[in-house]
Amino acid sequence: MFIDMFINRAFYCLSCLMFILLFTRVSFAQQEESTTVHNSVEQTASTDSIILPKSDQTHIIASVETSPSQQVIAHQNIQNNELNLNELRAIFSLRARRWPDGTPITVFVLRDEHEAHRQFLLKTLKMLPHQLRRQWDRYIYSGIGQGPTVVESQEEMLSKVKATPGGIGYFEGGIKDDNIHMLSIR
Amino acid sequence: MTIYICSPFDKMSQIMKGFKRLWVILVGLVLGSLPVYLFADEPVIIDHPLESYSRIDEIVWHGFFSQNFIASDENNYLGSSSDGSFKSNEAALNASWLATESLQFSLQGLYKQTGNSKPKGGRLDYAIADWRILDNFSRVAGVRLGRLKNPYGFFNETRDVAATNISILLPQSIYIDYLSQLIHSSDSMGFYGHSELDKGTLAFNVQYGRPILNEDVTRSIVASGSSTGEFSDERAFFARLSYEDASGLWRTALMYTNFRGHFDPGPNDFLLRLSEGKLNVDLFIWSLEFNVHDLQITTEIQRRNIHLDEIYPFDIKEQNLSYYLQFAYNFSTAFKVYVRRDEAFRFKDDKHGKSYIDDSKAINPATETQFHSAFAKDTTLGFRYSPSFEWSFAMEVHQIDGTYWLPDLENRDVQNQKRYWNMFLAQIAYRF
Repeated sequence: MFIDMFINRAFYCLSCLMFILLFTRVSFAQQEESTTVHNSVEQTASTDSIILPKSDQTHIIASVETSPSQQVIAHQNIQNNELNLNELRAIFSLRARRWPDGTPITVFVLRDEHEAHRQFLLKTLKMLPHQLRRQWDRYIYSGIGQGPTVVESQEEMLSKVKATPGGIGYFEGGIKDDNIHMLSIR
Repeated sequence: MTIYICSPFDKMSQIMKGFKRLWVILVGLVLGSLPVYLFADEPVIIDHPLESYSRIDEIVWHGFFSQNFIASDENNYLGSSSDGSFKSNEAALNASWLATESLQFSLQGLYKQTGNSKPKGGRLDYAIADWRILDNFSRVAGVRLGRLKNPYGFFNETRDVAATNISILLPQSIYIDYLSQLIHSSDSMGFYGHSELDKGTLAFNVQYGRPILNEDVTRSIVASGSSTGEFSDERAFFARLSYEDASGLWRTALMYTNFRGHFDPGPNDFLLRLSEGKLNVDLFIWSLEFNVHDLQITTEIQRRNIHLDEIYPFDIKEQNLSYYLQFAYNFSTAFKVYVRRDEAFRFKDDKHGKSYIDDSKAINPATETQFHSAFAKDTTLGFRYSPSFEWSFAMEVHQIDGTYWLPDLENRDVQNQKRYWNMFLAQIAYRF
């Protein structure tokens, strides 16, 4: 009655179409990825950056340079000099809960619909936003962990990360600060 | 209408049994929390210059709520859906507390209504003490104790939270709502862990304990709507091995489950030809998902072997087969459309239920069983709109051929169960 047009044959035709779509997408994705990697090698740090007030410089912010305008920021006590992409993914997927020195990791993120958040996931973590959300939901609603701490703005992100030992977050726009510690990505 | 005979004493003993279980969980949680005080690490002082800080602030609260509307042209699903039903809803509140760096407690209270099935009202959904023994970047391992969510398929652990599901009804062949309490959680002990590999994450989860049975579940297992029998010594074992690509492009999981129990018939069950016997269910699920940009393709295949030994005058051995294939496309972050084909067969070698009916007639010529209760093929089309993290709205239509997972509970007149039926569902959901 509702969907008489939606008979099995139509469904299987649609399935085939979707599969074709999928594999064209996969090949596109691989092409894109190779170009992105190539670009990021050539590009240098972004010029648009903000200067922090002197009073805020009480803590050193370690930073992983990722894409030109995005930086992963962490509390000063983090002794890591480098993180690889998979370690970064493990942190933001909430699978890793402690830094190598034992300090608990506190992950700060902006709201899902925030553009800086989406860009960070897509460009820096190279993950799909709904994939990461699914992993967080599993921690939040099945009692096996806690979700990330959600902040409302980039400024709040900055101040929370500075105030929380073991804190990690991200910032778009770049931070100009002499005390920034650049981390390399393996 | 069927009247269930149950003496006040039986009722009392059932209630006491329920309390006993709750006590076991609570005592377990208290004992589990002892290490917090005995071996507590130095408290982590978090630098909150402007806020006063106490341990109560460490408790993280979350919750969710959803209300569904169901309408069907034939047959009833989730209430009297042929007249339009609102009897599918849930609300929950959960709290989690990281007591030390390696010990976490969490608890969830759930109110859930699934058509006219039991239990009605609130219940303890999970209560978990989670101790991480090994915790570093490349390897994690730990132990969980309490009422745990079962590692069953991809979606069981978050199935109650409407916004986390793509569709309103999960594929009923594997995630049948009327058995959700049995599938959902069990009072058990579990080990878990994961290892970060070069290109992805390999995770395992093993659990052993007591499943949660209620009289409706027991009745559907012994396929008799008026039995007053109960299972004793019931046990559930779950094991899941899963692999997820680091970028989230694809993931897969392999799962095995075993349910077993001893059936003790009720005082009048001899009239239903039920006697003391054993139940054994072996279940395998293979799950696979691809995520490519905005397209998500999910498939799960389930094999289930049910063996009822001596419960009926004859042994019952069923080899069920079910699978589904689902496509979901995200048009934007807020709007997605999905389509799914879901098929379930009671006998993998008798997909059209022909010999099933012949056998039933041979045993009882007056049987009311119909051949289309041996399969169910469900085609679903729907969309979900989630304007924010908190709110989510969805609508979907089902076109179903077969009545395999149609509950007798809502459709007492077995002769009147129609082979072809359609459903429309709408959902409003909130979470925080």
